[in-house]
Amino acid sequence: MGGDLERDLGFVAVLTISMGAMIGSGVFVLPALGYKIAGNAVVVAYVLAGLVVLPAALSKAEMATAMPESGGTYIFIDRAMGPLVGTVAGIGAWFSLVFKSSFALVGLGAYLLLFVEIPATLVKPIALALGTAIVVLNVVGTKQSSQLQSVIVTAVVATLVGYVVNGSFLVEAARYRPFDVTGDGGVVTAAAFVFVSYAGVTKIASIAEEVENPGKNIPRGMLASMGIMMIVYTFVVAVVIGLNDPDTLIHGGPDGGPSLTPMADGAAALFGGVGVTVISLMAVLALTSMANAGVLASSRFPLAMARDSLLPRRLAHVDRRFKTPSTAIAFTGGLLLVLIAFVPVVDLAKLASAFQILVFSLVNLALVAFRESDVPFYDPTFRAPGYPYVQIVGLVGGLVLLGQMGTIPLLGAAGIAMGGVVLYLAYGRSRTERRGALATLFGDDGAVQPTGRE
Amino acid sequence: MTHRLVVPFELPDPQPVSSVLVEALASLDIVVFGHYGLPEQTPPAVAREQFEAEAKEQLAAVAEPFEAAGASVTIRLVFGRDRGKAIDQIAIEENCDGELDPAPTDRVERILVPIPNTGNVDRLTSFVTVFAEGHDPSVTLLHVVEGEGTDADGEAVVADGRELMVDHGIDPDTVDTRVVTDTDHDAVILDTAADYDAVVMGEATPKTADRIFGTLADKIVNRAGKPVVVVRRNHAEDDDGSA
Repeated sequence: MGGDLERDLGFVAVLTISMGAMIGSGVFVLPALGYKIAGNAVVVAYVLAGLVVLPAALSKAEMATAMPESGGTYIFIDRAMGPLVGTVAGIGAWFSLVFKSSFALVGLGAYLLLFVEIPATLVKPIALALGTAIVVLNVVGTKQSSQLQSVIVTAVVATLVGYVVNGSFLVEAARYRPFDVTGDGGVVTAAAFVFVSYAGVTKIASIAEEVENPGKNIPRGMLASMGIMMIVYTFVVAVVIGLNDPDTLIHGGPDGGPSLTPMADGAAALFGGVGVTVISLMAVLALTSMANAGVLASSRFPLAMARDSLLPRRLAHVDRRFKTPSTAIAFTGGLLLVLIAFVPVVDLAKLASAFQILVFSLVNLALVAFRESDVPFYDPTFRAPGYPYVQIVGLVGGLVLLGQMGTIPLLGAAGIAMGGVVLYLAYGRSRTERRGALATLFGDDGAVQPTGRE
Repeated sequence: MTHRLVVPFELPDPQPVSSVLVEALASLDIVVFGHYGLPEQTPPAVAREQFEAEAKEQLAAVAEPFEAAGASVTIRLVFGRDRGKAIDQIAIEENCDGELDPAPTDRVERILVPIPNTGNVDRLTSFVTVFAEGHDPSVTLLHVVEGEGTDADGEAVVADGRELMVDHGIDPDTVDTRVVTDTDHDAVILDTAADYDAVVMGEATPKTADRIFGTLADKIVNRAGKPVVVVRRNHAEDDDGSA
């Protein structure tokens, strides 16, 4: 039953929340890693990635207005295609967000090192310490941080604008010529790699219950925030490339790898000489808030799956003392720390993107399933334009990107999908009666329900 | 008209309202409102599933004395993150014109009524009358003159207020008035409240500082430890642009 939330988020609030969820590693950490892959054409890769995300964002906007529930991505896919695909999507979405948060924490550690003179080998231990602190904070529970969030977003956006304006006087035009792919990959590979920069756009779906006039504000907020972020990424990445020696970007990071702090690298000459400090401070703010939001949001997936009997019930348990789903958060936090400790940083980013592409492809499919099966409870207030062509383009685009990512991410995506299937067969199958909307297409009017629980 | 008063309780384990206060409020319509505060990590639906039965039991227990005292009681329960916002929402939905900020008290014999020079003095006095029904407490109308005003203006404000109360049928001998000139309006009221058993006041126009440090009513409850009845602004009027 509802009635627990009032709809009080207007368009501006939706825009801020969505941008806040996107600003983070995509702009502060990934540019140099992308530069290594595609050279100065990485600017184009950001735009391309945004265009491939767009169909899934539209699909999600529509489904969010029909089923405003926490655990959005998983819920949509599960209700559309049934618990088997739902399990794969839930695990995929969960892993993707945890990888993204791990990556944000490693980047955060790298920016913190710019304040203090300690060896670069300490990046991971620092990231682990910060990660532990964030997990504990989430287990104990935090109060509404949305106001703080909008202050951070405003400050970071202002800094980025200042960075672009300031930096554009200092860039060396020669670094854009020839405007070409010079890296060890290509534009498509780089696009797949920075795909995760737009993952935050789906944050809106998870707060759909609180948005006023959702049929208008959700799609507009999503599209506007994506448009703004495409522009921001394009300009910021262009300035990063123009300010820095290519060698710094490609070999300036830990162990001679790509720089993890590309925005601070050439910033010494900005903001009256305190550029490095200002940028690093903003990066720390943005990445902390991203990692924190990531832990919070990713713990919603095991929680929602446990409520649907696809994972042990214990994961949906709310702790009496802290009033948080502490088991789901601790479980998520444990994975986060293991990833930081044992997975190389570039692979963290790649895998986060790969799982995200997998999930977004499923999101496009889920919309098709709902539209075609026409189940009675599915009644969105916003209908995505361009159906089904937009969804098909999104699906094909996603698969093309996935195919260009190389072996580790492909194996990772396949592994997650297999793992989801095995998990469903071993655990969820005997415990759930649900069918997806898709089943009605095959004459099965089984237990399709909007929530699957009463 | 009968006034409707929302009485908020913080769940789990709500603090019962003192019996004298229950008695004093028994002639009003009471909306017993349980707010189960959640951190942002917890989807309300999940917490509701797990804690609803217990929360309802606890609410019924704190509502029982009101029913026994003869008040008409409505019970509402919300699982959410923002208590103030939820109270506002319930007050509007349930058409309440007042809100109790409870605090422990063992008598309701002296009531302080801070009167502003604008706003809903009429509703305020009408509320005081109902609140005082059958108890004959002594009522003090207090006006703090800030900045530009003069004492004469202040005297006029409290005299008008007193007249209204007498019109409403309060014994004139029980109503006295005070006018204080001071730069810090809130501090005066906070200090004065210490000598009274309860405060009935109008809802202030929300300021940013209140969001951070709490409203004057919150301060009276927390620092002076006195129950406060806040008479809500007429939100419909405000929307027309008139204060």
